[in-house]
Amino acid sequence: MVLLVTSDNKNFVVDREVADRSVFVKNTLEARGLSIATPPMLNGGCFELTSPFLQVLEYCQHHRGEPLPTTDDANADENRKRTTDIGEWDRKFITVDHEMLFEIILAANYLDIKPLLDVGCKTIGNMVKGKSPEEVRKLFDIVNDFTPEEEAQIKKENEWAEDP
Amino acid sequence: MDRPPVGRGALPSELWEGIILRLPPIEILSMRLLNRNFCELIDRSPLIKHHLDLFSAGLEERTAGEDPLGIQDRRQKLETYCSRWERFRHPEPILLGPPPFPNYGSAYVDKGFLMYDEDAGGEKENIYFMRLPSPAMEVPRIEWIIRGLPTSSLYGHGRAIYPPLDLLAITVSSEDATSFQIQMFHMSDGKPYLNDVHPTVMGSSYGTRIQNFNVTLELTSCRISATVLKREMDPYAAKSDDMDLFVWDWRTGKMCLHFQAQIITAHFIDQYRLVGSVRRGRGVVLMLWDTSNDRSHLPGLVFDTGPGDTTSLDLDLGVHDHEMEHALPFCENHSMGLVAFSFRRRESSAMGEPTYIIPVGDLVRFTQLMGTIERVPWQDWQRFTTPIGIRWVPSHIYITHSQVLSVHRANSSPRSTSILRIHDFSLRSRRRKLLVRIHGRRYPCRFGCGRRNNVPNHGAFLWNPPRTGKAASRKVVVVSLST
Repeated sequence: MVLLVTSDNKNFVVDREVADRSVFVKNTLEARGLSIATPPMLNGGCFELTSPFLQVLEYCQHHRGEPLPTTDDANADENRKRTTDIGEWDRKFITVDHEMLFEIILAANYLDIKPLLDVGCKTIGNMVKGKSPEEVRKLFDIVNDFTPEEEAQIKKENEWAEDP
Repeated sequence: MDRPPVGRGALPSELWEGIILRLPPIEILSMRLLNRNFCELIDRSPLIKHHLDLFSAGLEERTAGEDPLGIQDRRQKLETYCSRWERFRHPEPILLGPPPFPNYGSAYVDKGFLMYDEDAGGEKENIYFMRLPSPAMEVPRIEWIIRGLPTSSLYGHGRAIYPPLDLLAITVSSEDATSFQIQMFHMSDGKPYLNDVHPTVMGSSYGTRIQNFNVTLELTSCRISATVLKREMDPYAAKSDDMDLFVWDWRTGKMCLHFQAQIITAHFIDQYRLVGSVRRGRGVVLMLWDTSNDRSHLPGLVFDTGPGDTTSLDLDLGVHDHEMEHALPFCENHSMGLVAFSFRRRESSAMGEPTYIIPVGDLVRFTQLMGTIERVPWQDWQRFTTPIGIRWVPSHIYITHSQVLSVHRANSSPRSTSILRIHDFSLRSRRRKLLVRIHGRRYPCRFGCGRRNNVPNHGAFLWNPPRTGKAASRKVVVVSLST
């Protein structure tokens, strides 16, 4: 069992197998030569806030024991990136509000959980697809700081891409 | 954890980069319209640029099924879009008059000229980067000062070429001169690149004091590499040149390759894969590895360049039952390059076994120039159990003014081999021996071509055939290609 501490000082005791889903945690534990039996304190204290962390834990628990994606297979990595398919369970899991989705992605990035990061990025990618810039801005609360001239310029550059 | 920058949709840009990379190219372009941050991110990210490049450079078969918008129709337009980065490149290095500083170093970069100004006491050094609006400009204008650095620590310089990034890389050695750092700056504003994430890339000479080193940098889509020359003070000492090749992932700062050799030339011919030819003593090791992957290298290919034998190498990295006959990697820039290989079966003395050609980058121009050249999938390099694409007999070697090399198959039997466009220089192959003819005289040789003093079209290096035996007959002939 492993003790993980989030940045707001909540303690979580999880199975080593679950914790190992995070490459960051795995490497940290291995680097310190800790055995499974030893519940370590992870110094640095900067994990995620509790709420996204709970989500991340849920994900890790569901996917525990699955082989971690190796970096050896570049093609598989490419394919994984290119497909937009998301598994059934993952799709349900990731159906959360934007704020939580962002938090999960940040957590997955920080904890180095590639499959989860993938799911998150694909989800956002799917949200963006087919939407106009204005819609995307609204969706993610993005402020348009272009001057009208600049916007027109970029539109002109993109003109051929707008519609067939 | 850092909170995301304002206005970029609550995620740090590297995560947005990952998201954008998963979008079809057309969507990526419309993401540029979101706001300045997005526009800048997309324009500056080499990965995204590469993503678009792949799309336009003939890899549509991988994405065609996914893009409902019709890639073929838009490909031309996308190429036009991507080509806007090309305009930053100068075709030739720019030569300037003497610099206004008494002590200086210099490095050519695509958009300008780098200069180090030492003060009298040698305690501080300013690095200036001068932007050159046109090659004809006579007096460079100082645009900005990158940073003051202690003179004693500035040992080498490097350059990074990547137009969408506009990066300039500078190397700085440590006080004890056994390690060095590479710092990168944006050429547009002089700000450090990725300073918040990975301010420097570190290298070490592993305890050997660096007497003097040169660093060359090439920036691929995900790797920085540097060759470091550790030159002893005594130029006549044995092994006076000791070089290291370092390769880093610039996104993580992790080193993924370190190789020591006496002489290294590294050619970066694809943003996916890296090809280096390492000349070590009398042999050459050619390494291919996947730049998207830290660990999986294709086994290096060992072949000898002529005089000498490869068994003296401590690396034995032959590929299956073939060994390399020769390889001629040429790459003048990232957009164009080509590597030709010919393999000879071990235990066989026959020459002219299949020669493999890897065209890289600008396939369109190549095919226009050379006729039909199939693209050879890089994936096939990882296997080598099947023939790789095309079998070429090295009957014609083609060297253009830009050192692009190709091999033509004139007919099925390799009767003649020649380097074209160089009138006083030709190669003939007869009965497994290559003959070079220079001004009418014939020389037996194996052949290679290169650059001398970094001047293109200057220097062809011809070797006597190693298998004909005697050391006394080994000879290197250097001819100027420019006359």
